[in-house]
Amino acid sequence: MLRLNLDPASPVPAYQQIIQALKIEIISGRLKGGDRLPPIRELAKILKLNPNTVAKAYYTLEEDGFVESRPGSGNWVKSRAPDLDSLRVSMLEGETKSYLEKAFSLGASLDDVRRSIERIASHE
Amino acid sequence: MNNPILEADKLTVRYGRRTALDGVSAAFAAGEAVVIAGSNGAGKSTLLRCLAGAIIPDRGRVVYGNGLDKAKIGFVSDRLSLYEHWTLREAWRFHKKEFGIAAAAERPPIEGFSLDEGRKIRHLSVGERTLFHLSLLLAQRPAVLLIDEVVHGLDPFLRDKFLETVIGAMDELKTAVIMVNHTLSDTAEIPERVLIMAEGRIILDERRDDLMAKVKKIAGDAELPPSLPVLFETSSEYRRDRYIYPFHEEWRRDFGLTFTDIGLDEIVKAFIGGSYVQKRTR
Repeated sequence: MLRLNLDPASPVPAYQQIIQALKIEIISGRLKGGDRLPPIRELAKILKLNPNTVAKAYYTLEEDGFVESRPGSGNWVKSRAPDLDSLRVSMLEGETKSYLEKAFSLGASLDDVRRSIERIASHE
Repeated sequence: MNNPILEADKLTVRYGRRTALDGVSAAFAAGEAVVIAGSNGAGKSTLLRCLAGAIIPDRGRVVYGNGLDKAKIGFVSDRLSLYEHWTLREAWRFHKKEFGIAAAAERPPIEGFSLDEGRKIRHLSVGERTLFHLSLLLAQRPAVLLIDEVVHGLDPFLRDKFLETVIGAMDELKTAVIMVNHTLSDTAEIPERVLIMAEGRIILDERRDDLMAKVKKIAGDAELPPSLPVLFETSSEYRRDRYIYPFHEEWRRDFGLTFTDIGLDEIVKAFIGGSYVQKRTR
C-alpha cells in the first residue's frame, strides 16, 4: 500500500513533494520495478490536487528515469531504475548535512555527535 | 494568452456610487484552474457573476472563446435559489429539457453521496443543495465551472466530495475551473494560478509556483536596505514580520538576511493586509 504524506502548508510546491515522496518509496524498495503507480485522477482526488500537478510530477519522474508511462495503461515503476545506491547515498548525505548544521549550532563537537548517534541507535 | 476560452475585457460595474469593478481584464485558458482571492468587497463575486453572464457590466465586455456558449458555463453559488418548490426529480427533468441534455443522459452521480429524489429543494441543507446543483451542472458537460465561495460552507466530508467531483470533471471533461475563495487552503491544491483583488482591481496575477518563489518573509528587527520591496509588515511587542515581494533569489547572498519561505494562505494574507494599509494611507 502506497503512502504519500504531503504537507499542504509546506512552502515546497505539491508536485515536488510528490516527486520526493515517490523517489523515497522507490529508493527504499517499498515500490518495486513493475509496480503500477496510482492513476493520475485517483491520486489527484485523494490528495486534492489538480490532475495537471500529478501529471507534471509523473512526467518529471519519467524524465529522471524512475517511471515509464505506457499509453492507455498508466504509469509504472521502471524495472531498471537509475543507480539507486548512489541516490540513496546522496539523499542520506543531504539529511546528514542538515542534521550536522543543527548539531554544530548547539555547540556540539563531532565526538559529541558520534556518541549521541551511537547511544540512540543502540537503544533502538 | 493564446485563444483564451473566457476573457474579461475592461469590466466596470457600479452599484450606486460604489465601483465594484474598476476596468478589470483577465483571460482564462481552457482546462485551467484559477482561484480568485481578496478582501471583502474587493469585487471577486462581481467578477465571477459577470463571467457567468448573471450581471451585465456597465462598461467592457465578456468575450467567449472558440466554441464556448453560455450553456457550457456552469455557475455554482450558495445564493442560488433554484426551483425552491420542486423536488429533485422535477428539477432534473426541467434542467434536462431546458438545457438540451440528451434524453438518455443520467445525472452524473457524486461518489458516496446520494439524496432522495422525492425531496424538495428548499428542504435540503446548504451543502446538499450545493452538491445537487453541481451534479446538475456537470450533466451539461461544462467547459467552464465558476464556483463562488461555496467550499467554506460545506462540512469536511461534503467539502471533500465537492473537490473530488470538481477534480474528476477537470480530468474527464477538461473543464476550466475559476473559484472565488478567501482562504486558499479551502480549495486544496487545485488552482494553478492565483488572482488577488482589492478595491475592484486585480492587484496580482501569478502562477501558483511562481508566487511561492516570489514572496518571502523576514522575521525580526534586522535593518533592511531601502531597496527591498516590503509588501506588508506586522509587528507586536514580541514579533515583527516583513513580507517581501517581488523577491530575487540572489538577495539571499547579497544581503545576508534570512528570507523564509511561506505558504499560500500567508502570502494571500500579506497581499490583502497590504491593500488595507494602502487604503488607509491614501
